[in-house]
Amino acid sequence: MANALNCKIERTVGPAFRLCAALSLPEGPLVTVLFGPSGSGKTTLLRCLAGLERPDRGSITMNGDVWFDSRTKAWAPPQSRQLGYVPQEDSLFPHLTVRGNLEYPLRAVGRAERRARAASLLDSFNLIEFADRRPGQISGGQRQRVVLARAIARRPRLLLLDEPLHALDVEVREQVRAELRRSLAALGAPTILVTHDRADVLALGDRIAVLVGGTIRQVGPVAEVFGRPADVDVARVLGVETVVEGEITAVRDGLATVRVAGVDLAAVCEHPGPGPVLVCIREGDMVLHRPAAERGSARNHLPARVAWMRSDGVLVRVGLDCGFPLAAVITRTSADELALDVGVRVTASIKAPAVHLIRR
Amino acid sequence: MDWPAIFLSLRLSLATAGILLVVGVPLAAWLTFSPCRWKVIVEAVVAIPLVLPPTVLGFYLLVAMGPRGPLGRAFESLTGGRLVFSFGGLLVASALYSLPFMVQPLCAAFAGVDRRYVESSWCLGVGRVSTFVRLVLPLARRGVVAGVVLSFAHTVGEFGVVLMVGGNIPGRTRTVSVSIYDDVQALDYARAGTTAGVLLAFSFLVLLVTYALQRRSPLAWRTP
Repeated sequence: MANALNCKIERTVGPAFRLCAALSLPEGPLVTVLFGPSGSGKTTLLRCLAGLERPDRGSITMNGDVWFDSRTKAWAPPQSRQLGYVPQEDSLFPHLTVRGNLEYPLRAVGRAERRARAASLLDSFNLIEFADRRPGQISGGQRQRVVLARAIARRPRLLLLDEPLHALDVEVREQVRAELRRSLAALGAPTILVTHDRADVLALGDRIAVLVGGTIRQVGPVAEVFGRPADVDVARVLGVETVVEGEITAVRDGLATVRVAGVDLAAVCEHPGPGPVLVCIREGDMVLHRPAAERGSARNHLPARVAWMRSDGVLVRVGLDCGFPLAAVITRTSADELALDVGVRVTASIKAPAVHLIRR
Repeated sequence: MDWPAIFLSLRLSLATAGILLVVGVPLAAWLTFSPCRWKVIVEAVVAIPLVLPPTVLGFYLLVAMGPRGPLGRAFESLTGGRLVFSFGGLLVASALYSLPFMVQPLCAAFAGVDRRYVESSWCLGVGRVSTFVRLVLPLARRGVVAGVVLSFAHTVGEFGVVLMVGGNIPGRTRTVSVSIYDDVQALDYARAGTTAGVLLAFSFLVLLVTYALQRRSPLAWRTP
């Protein structure tokens, strides 16, 4: 598949930091999450893509248009890139109403068309009742909706979102996140979303690019990157955890049956109904025992084979294969008692509440 | 009371503030946003009237605008008129003398507009000039008002430059401040007093209305 965006840039920021990033986006409305710890260069990369900062070296092309090329000295200013950019801080223009903000980028189109497009945006973002208020008179969640609506008003070819949920309270965040997912799907343009919140990655991302120390270490589908981190840094940044794709096949009495790679798991399901989900299991929530042992109260007992083991201080990290990769962490004493080694068969027990489902 | 002098002062101050608004906005925008490193020289030149005695500035302007000065000759060849001891000359002198009072509030206001608004506007496809007109100017309008009021008030109150360049021709170049000075010289304290009183009341009123209007700005913080 042809790439929409090809970006390979270097930029030195201050004496101590150097961004050296290569990133390609496929065509289509996929959300690529740019994930990394603070200070890893996420915002710098996004600003280079937006045309607000000029890289020292490299090139950026979008659908065949050259936005930047250090060899030919080509440069497209942000105005001509036709993108939507939502910075981390609140950027609504305080002297304009909500409607005024939405119409602001539409000066080039005719008056009637401008009115109509603003009205349809107000409608689809549930902002009609706030149309004549100023940004200072609406809530943080509403402001975030306006910023997003304004960013896509010109139908951008590329949408860049820098921590769009960062400033919101936890309760509002959940709701805006769901709205954001719907809006991004409706937009139909590739999106890059910067975040350092794993919940955003799992709920919003189709693909993830992990940025550590100014370099993109791994790019791929979310479940794949979480399941098989390319190196120790990536694993540390992501937090080693099992993230696999699954499908809810049945829900009874709040207990869901989730099918993952041919294995059925029991999970507590707060939002009933079948459908695709991401299944997350923290490595510390796993109990390992020999196949014949007592079963206890846990709902899930998965026969598995030890694929790899890595010592980590008093802990041992264990990679299991039970049809899908499963990460566990146990103490060294337990590992010795179980006589664990690569190839040994064990049973992994997981309580249903520890199987966390994220709806896609 | 010297009504012609009062009207002349008002006319001069309004015209000066108007000219400075037209000249000052682009100049202040350039001084604020240009990456040019020589702009510091222009900044210093603009601020010179703040520190120079008005008589010094008036002296140089008198020489430059005189019949043999470069400004005076250019003006005469263009219009056939004289710059010194005329309203036009007063206007040029006042504009130069009040320039920092327009440019400095504007610069401060432009610089106070958060960069993220400007960058957002660029990313929304709006060009630099258009962004300045539609975003920066409205957000900086307190600075615009402050610049207009300050340059107006400063021109009403100027004395030294006006006396040097304009002389003291009743109805043509005799402004309020010069008129009051004349009355005092002539020991006509009553006449000087009424003119001074009118000027004081008028100045107070202008500032009062300006501040009251600024306070009602919809940009002010409001509790939702």
